[in-house]
This record gives sequence, structure tokens and C-alpha cells, in this order.
Amino acid sequence: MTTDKFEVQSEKLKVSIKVLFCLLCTLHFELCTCAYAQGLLITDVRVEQEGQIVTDPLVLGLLETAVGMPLSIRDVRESITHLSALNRYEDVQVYQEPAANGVRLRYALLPVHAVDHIEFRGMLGLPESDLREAATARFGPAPPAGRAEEIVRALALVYRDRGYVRPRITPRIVVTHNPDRASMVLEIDSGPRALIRQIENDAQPGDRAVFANTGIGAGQPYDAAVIQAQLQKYETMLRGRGFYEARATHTVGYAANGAVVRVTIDRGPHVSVAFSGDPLPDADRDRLVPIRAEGSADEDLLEDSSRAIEDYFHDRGYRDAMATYSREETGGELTIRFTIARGQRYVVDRVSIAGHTAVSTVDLAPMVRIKSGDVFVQSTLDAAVGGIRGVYRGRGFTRAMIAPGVGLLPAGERAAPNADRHVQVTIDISEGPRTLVGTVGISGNRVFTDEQIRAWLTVVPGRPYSDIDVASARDRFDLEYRNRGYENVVVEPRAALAEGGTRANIAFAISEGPQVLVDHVIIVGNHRTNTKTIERELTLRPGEPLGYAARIESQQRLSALGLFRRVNITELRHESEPRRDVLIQVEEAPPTTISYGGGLEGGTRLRPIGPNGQAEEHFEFAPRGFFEIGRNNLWGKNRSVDLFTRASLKARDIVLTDTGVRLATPAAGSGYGFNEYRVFGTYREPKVFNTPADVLLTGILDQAIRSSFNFQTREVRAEAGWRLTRSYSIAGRYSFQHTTLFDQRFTPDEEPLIDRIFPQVRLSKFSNSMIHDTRDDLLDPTRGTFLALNSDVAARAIGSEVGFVKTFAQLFDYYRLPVARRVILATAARIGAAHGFPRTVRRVNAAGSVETDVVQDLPASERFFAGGDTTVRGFSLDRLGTAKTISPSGFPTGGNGEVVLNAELRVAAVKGLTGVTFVDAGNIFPRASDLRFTDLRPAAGFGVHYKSPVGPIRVELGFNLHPRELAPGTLERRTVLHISLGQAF
Amino acid sequence: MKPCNAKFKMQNAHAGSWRIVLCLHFAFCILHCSTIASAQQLLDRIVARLDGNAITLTDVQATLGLGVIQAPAGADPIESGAQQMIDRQLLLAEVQRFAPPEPDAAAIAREIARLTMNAGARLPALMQSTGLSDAQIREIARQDLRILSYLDQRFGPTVQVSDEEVAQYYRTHEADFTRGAEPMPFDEAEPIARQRASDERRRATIEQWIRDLRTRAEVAVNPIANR
Repeated sequence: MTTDKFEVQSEKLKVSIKVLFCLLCTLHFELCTCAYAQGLLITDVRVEQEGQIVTDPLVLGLLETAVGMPLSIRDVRESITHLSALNRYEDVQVYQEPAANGVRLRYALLPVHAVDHIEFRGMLGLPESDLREAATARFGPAPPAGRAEEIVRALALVYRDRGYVRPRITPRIVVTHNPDRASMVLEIDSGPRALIRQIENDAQPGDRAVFANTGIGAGQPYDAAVIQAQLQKYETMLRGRGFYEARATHTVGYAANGAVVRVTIDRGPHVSVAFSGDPLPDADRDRLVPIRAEGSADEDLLEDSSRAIEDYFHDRGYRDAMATYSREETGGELTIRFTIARGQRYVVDRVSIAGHTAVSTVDLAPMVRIKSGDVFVQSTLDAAVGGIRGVYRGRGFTRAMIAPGVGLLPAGERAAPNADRHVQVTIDISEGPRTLVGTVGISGNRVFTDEQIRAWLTVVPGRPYSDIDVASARDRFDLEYRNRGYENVVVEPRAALAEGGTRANIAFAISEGPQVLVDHVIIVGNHRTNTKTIERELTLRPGEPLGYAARIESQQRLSALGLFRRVNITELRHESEPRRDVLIQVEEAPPTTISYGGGLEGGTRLRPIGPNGQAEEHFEFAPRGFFEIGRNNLWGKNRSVDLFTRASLKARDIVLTDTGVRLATPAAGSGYGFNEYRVFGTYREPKVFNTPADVLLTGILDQAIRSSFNFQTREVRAEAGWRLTRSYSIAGRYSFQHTTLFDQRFTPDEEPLIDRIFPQVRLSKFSNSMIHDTRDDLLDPTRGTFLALNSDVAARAIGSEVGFVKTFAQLFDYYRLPVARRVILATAARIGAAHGFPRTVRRVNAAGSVETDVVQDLPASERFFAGGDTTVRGFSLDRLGTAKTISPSGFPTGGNGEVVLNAELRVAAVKGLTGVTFVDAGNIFPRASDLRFTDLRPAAGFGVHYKSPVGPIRVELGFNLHPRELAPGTLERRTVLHISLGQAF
Repeated sequence: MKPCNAKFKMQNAHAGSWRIVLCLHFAFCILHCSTIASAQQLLDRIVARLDGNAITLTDVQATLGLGVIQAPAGADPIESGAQQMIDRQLLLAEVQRFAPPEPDAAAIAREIARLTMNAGARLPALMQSTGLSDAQIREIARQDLRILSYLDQRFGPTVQVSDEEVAQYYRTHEADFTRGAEPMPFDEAEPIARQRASDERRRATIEQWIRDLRTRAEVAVNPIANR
């Protein structure tokens, strides 16, 4: 009994112990997991990389876990995901440690040790360069460490092909720190190389000497590449001799005492090509049947050749032409014979279209490119039918049937058997009912309202139904949703025809899917560029939708900064969450840029000749060069400075006698030299004061040789420009300049009063401009428009010595003609008008008395001039003008009004050459009110452009269509030659 | 003596038991303290990287817990799970490129129910230890359905197999075709064999396709010894 009681109690005790054990286990588990549990406050966050504390704000800024926050595994995972996006760490391990009142977190960052080179060590057997080439050709110069085994396998194959049957290759990654890099070391023991023991030749006796005098033979090391190259050479030789099916291959077997090479050469038959039946011109045979060029006579090539011959004849009106081929093999000779039966030629007698009531013949005519007298080509008729069907579909005739017919007209009684046959082409149209859009339903939309969606629709009730419109609407919906971050949106349109096909009820079923938002924007690779400079250009922002347009826009804006060689935007997924980190990787361009160049300019200029200094036109060459140095991205904020200098070697003034002999004593300081130069220094401050405006501060030193005078200008300028949209921009500018005239070609009586009074003039002016530019290329546009409106105001009130208002408008348009060859029609119109403010000036004349003059002209540097390679090309530089703007000695004085009109046809020829023909007209008028389009002086011409990497090089010859007197007794030149760089407009 | 002995034994047993309990208690305390004293506990880490995207330990644990992926018997669950997660991410990248129709809400609800049933009573603990939210479970369910839809779209729900292949399958898996203890004749087993052969071929095709995807991707798997 007692024992029983004891046993019962003992059992109870055991149970109690078990219960207690379980409780303790549970307690322990809970204790273990309570630290794992979320909710404990974070008391410290430490980030370490290989034992060093990390203080990089970029890294720390990516942590979602912060001191004082409750611990959340989700935040920890988010932090790891963000850090991983930097592509710097191969592992990020997060540990927690208990701490008073919470937990401490430790982030251990294990950096990626990217392999930056491969080392080959040991007994290589083969040249290291061969091994390196084999490895880098497939895996790149810095392969990921994880591909070491693949590299080993690839190299083992290389060794085997070179006779090393059992190479031992052991890869090893050697890690280095500061910077974190790694080398892939390949320890190699190539082992012995197999020698060729025997070459077994499976070839005709004539081919057995394939390796004669090549060094390939028994006792030599086996090298598959060398043998294969020799066999390939031999095969090519055989094919060149007409054995188009020749094959030369080899296999190798390794044995203990060497490699046994088995060579197989199968010449195949000797192939010749023959034609029978109707003749095929010799000049077209090799093109249509490229057996010789391809060195092959396989079935595909023969079928293609047969088809090409048929197409050749079909395109020439032989619609029944057939070309068949046969292979005739006799005694090792294969003859491939093409038999051509071209049949009769068909000529279109007449074309008629019938059955069209809803669409006029005028609208259908452009689709039908067949006319009476043409040879009949079936493909042209098919294209016409397709085009007409498209017109009807676009107008709602969904069931329109277009039936082409080709009726053979009877041949005349005495017609020759092979005479052309005439056909009548008919296109019968059965229009069927016109389908109009009935109802348009939209379902599944939650993000956009019906009204918003309908605003995008071109498919509206009552309009003709068109598949194309419905597809366009679907694409538009899709794009709008994607721009809002709905990347998985699916829009399915369904059209149900009703009322006998006259109504189409359209339903758009939208499945929006989840919206993807931007979580973090992580910017890496910017070492010099301030992160804020990059962020300012981004249209992707944390918390906002990851939109398609925003991503493209961000990419374009960053690229447009000009600071980066490469910009890459990638999305990094969060496992099972519709949020993405956006990783912006940039590769910075060098901050300093230097460019320089030189060239030769040729143009016709006015020069004073003879004792009276009358004008004469002379063609002159002028060597010129430029040098530019710029420093970008100053202080990491995309500010830049730039210095541009350009100089031309020009004669400042050449004085020639009537016989063309230069005067012994030219003007002091004249003669050849760098008399024309320009120095241009610019500082650019983008997005000044966080506005969209860019500010440019510019200093200019300019000396120019013109036709009537030379001048030197010193100018400082401040300009603010806004880019309003992709194509519109505006700018405001203030400039202060001082201009000195010298070497005037006028006699004192001819010289304009203002230039006599102000040979040196100070100008202070405000300007503004508006530009609309849709050109596809700034240097050589092929389509688009350029419109620029400029206006200047100078006034004494703001420090100018003379006052004026000036406007200049220019419009260039480029249109690519719809023809096969690249033909561009370029047109330009330029109009300028200026008005000077009157000013009274007192001066002492030669007699010593005081005179009062009123001047109302613009100074020489501000007046309009025209004529030359960029304006009216039948005239020498600045030559244009009405009688009042040309001095008696033939030099232009310039004027207050200008009109220049151009039209040019640019036809692409070969190898970058373009033929050009042009018509220009223009003139200079003394006053803006004198502008008369009837007084324009015409010119025409032609030329050649060569497309060089720096823009088109132009050689053009302009014809003055109505030459006038240049100077007393001298007519203007009839032709003027121009050699220059860049388009005229 | 017996009672005394019994009492003594009982007292001894009591004392021994309590000593065991105390020892156990101390052992657990020491173990617990050592856990704390060893100071650090891994919360999460990167187990693999696929084209720059990290796959974390908790990602693997969550998908394992929901039964989205299964570790084969005898394999390390995390190591095997990481490999399966890489395949899943490769699939999802393809799904993203050629998106199938969006699954409807009812299908997603059914898939969520299936996943939560897989987790069973462990779901709250799983959600707590991996930071899994309801929204994430929903997204995982959606992704599952999109993957299935994509695979059906790309490879078809079934693959046609020839009669010869069916016969071959039957011959190599003859032991699987029994009724009771008796082998099933081919004529009778043919529909089942055809279905299984088709499934096997489809699975092999998909596996090969995923292997090909892997060769084009940058995949790095971290050693998992110190997780």
C-alpha cells in the first residue's frame, strides 16, 4: 500500500517534473524569442564594415531602424534591401543585443570585393595572352567571383583543344582591402602536351597533301586551332574552284602515346550554274543567283535564287514568270540549271475603280499607283488594295470588300506571239454598312474617373468606328496608368457590332493592378557632384508613384546636365511589396574639357583698289583655329566656366592697283596677321536662386574684319534664360559694350555721320529673346522648325551714348520629302528692323567753329548687313543694299532694315556627300519703313556638302541673277564661291 | 523497513527530483544567460543576390512558412529556400516583362486562404518573426497566381506527348500503376500515364527554361554557415 502510494506520488512527481520541464522550456523559448519579438525599443544602432564604424551619411540615411523606435523586423529587412541597393555589399547582417530598456542593433556590412583582374600562375604551357583572351572574351576582364568554376571549365576546353588533355586549374579569390577589391588567381598545371602520333586522312588522293609545308605533322604538338585554320583555308580554296559543297573537318583521339588526328575532306561535286529558257541579263545573274559569292549551293540558297529571278521578271510586267532549278550530277560535276519561262509581258491599258460612294476618287487616287501604259505588277495592285482597305477601315467601313480584277484584253489579229498583252485593272469596292460608334463603356477604373478617361478618348459615340482609334485609346489608357505607377495595368477593348453592323458598342475593361510607389531614391557614383544637384533634376520622388514618364524625364534631365558619361536608373524590388527603391547610378564625366581645331574659310569680300579706293570683289582664303577650355561642375553644383578663343589669319586691309598689284605701302599696321579674333569667357550658374533660370555672365573681346570697316568690341553681359518646355525658351539680357571702328573704307564724305561722330561708341542695352526650336539636329537638321525673336533697347538713360530699338526675327523650317532618297527642303526667312533715337551733338568742325548735328542712326556694329555664305549667296560678304546703303565707292554702309529669304533642296548622294541647290533673295534698307519685298535681290546656286564629324563642310557657288554696278565702271561678280563649315541656316 | 524505506525512497525521490528540477532550472538559466551573454542574435541578412536585388533570410523564412516553397527532405531549408527564391524572382522578372492578366480578387482571396492554411497556427509567430504583413501575404498570393497564369500562357496547361512516350513512361514507372497489389494493364493505365508523362515533360521544360534564365542573370548566394 505504502509502496503503491509511493509509486503514485512518484508518478505525480514525474508528471510535475515533466510539467515543470515543459514550463521551463517554454519560458526559455519565450525568453529567447522575446528579444526577437518586435516592439522593444532600439537604444543604439551601430553600423560596422570590417570592424570599422561606418559614418557615411548615405549609408546611415538608408537605415529604417532608428534609436527610440520599436524594433521591427520589417524595418530591418527594409534597411537591408536599401543597403543592398548600393551594390557595395555582398552581405548585410543585422544582429540584436539586449540592452537596458531595449535592444542594440548592429549592422555588419560585408563589402563586395569585386574581382578587378585575373592572374594566371603556375606551369601555363600556353601563352598567358591566349588564356586571358579566352577568359575575358566570354566573361569580361573583371568577372564575378561566382563564375570562377565556369572560367575553369572554359579554360580546360582551351587546353584540350591545344593538346593538353589533363590540365589542373584551381581558382582562388584573393581579397584586398582599402579599396575593397579581389583578384581571381588561377593556379594552373597544364600537364604534358600531346604530340600528334598519326594523321589519318580520309580524302581523295589529291587532297591528302592538305598539310604539306604547314608544319603540321606527326611528332608536332597537337593544336586544334592551327589544324582547323589550315582545313578552313583548304576548304575556301576548294570552294573558290567551284566545289561549293566542300567540307574539311577533323577529329582527335587521345591515346597514351599521343594524339591521333583524323582528317576528313569531302570535295563534293564541282558545281556550275547554267541558265536556260528565256534570257536573264548577265549583269543581274550573280546578284540574283549568288552561288559564287556565297560559296554555297544549299537548297535554301537555290530556292531564294529561284524566287529572286521570278520577282525580277514580275517587277518588269511578266506576271506569269516562273523560274525552276534542277541539279544535274554527272561524273563528279553538278550543274545547277535555272530554267526561266517568263511568259508574256502585261501592260496596263486602263485602271478603273468602281463602287465607291462614301470615299471620293480623289481620296483613293494616292493609294493606286498604277496608271495606263505601266507594266502590270501584281504587288503594286496588292498594295493599292491594302491602301484602299485602310482608308475605308479608317472611316468606319469595317466590312468593306475590295476586289481587284485583272482583265486580259484581246490581242490584235496580227499581233506577234510574244507581243505585250494589255490588261484592264479594275478595283471593285463593296463598301458595306458604315459602322459608327454606338456606346463606349469603361469598367474596372478606380484611379481615374469616367470623365477623366473619356477626355482622352478619340472614340466617341456617333463617330466612325476604327480599329486604329480603339487601339490608340487603349495605348493612351495604358500610358496614363503607367505614368501613375500602375505597371501591371491591362486594358482590354471589346467591340460588339449591332444594328446590322452599323453600330459598334465598345467596352474598355481595365484591370489596374497595384500601384507601385517609390520608396527610396538612392544616388550612387557622384563623387564630385552634389547630391542635391542630382535630386533637383529628378521627377521621381519618395512616396510618389513610380511613373513611366517620370522615369524617362529624370533620365533625360540628368543626361542633359552634361555632367555624366552615363546615367542608369534601375528599380530595386522589395520582396512581395509594391514599393521600389530607385537606384540612380551615375558615372561622372571629366570636369575639365579642352577642345581645339582649325580650318580654312573661303569667301568673296569687298576690297578697296586703286587710288580712289573703290570696291572690288576678291576671293580670299583665311586659315582659322579655335581653342576652348572649360571646367564643369564647380563645387559640385553644375556651375561652369568656359573660355573660348578663335582667331583667323586675315589681311587687315589689302590695297591693290587696277592691275591687281598690291600697293607698296599699305596702311600702317595692315597686312596678314591674326586680325580677326574673338575671346569669350563665360560663367554659368544653373537654376539660380532655385528658380528654373540659368544665368550666364560673359566677357567678350572681339575684333572683326568687315567689308566697309573693321571694329573691336569689349563687352560684358549678364543673361538669364528659362527653358519653358522642351521646345520653348526665353531669355533676358543686359550688355555693356564699347566698340571702336577703324580701317573704314569710306571717304570722309561717304562715311555715315554717326560713325564720324562716334568712331568709338559705348552701348548699354537690354535685350530679350524667345526661341521655339523643334529641330532634330542643331548642326544638320532634317526636320523641325526654329523660330527666334530678338529685340534690343539701348538708351542714354541707362548709360548708352546712342539710343535705339532693334528687332530681328528669323524662322527656319526643315521638311523631309516623302521620297526614297533623303531629300530635305529647307526654307528660311529673316527680317530685321531698327530705329534710332535722335540725339543732338555739338562738335567743332575743321574750321574751328561749333556745329550742331542731329544723329538718328545706329552705330556701325548694330546696323544690318547682308550678303555672303549665310545670307544671300550670290553676293560677296555684306555686299547687299539699296542704293542709299551703298557708298559711291561700292562699300555698304548697312541699314536699319533687312529681309533675307532662302529656299534650299538638300539631296543625299553617296558617302556623306549631299548635293544642294538653292534660291536666295534679300536686301538691306536704310530705314525700317523702307522695307519692300519688291526690292529684294535674287540669287541662285548649287553646291556640295560633306558631312564631317563637326558639321557639314560646304562648297557652294552662288549666281547673282541681276548684277548691278559695284563701283563706277565695275559690275558685281556673276558668281561667288563660298567654302565654309556649317549650314547656311 | 519497507515503509521507512519507502518513505526514505520517496523523500529521496522528492529531493532527487527537486535537484533535477533545480539543475534543469540552472541549466536553462545558464543557457539563457549564455544566449544573452553571447550577446548577439542574428535578425536578418542577405542570403542571395539576384541582379542586384537582395533576397533576405526573412524572405526565405516567410515563403517557407507559407508553403510557397518547400525544402526537400534532408536539405537545409534556408539553403534550398534561397535557391528556390532565386528561381521565383527570375520567374517574376519574366512575368513582369510579359505580364499576364491581373488575377481577380476572388482568386487572390482563395490563394491567401491556401497560404494561411499552410502556415496554420504558426501564422502569427511567422508574421512576427519575419515582419510579414497582411498586405505582403496578399502580394505573395497575387504573385503566385500571376506566375501560374504566365506559365500556362507560355507553356500551356498541358503538353502533348506521343503514344510512344506514354508507353515509355508506363514501362519506366510500372510499379506506380497498380490496383490493389495487381499491376494495372497499359490500356487501363494509359490516361493516367499520359497525364503524368505530360506533367513531367512540362515540369522538365520549365526547369530547363529557369536554368537558362539563371545563366543570363547575375546570381550570388552567400554562405549560410553563420546565420
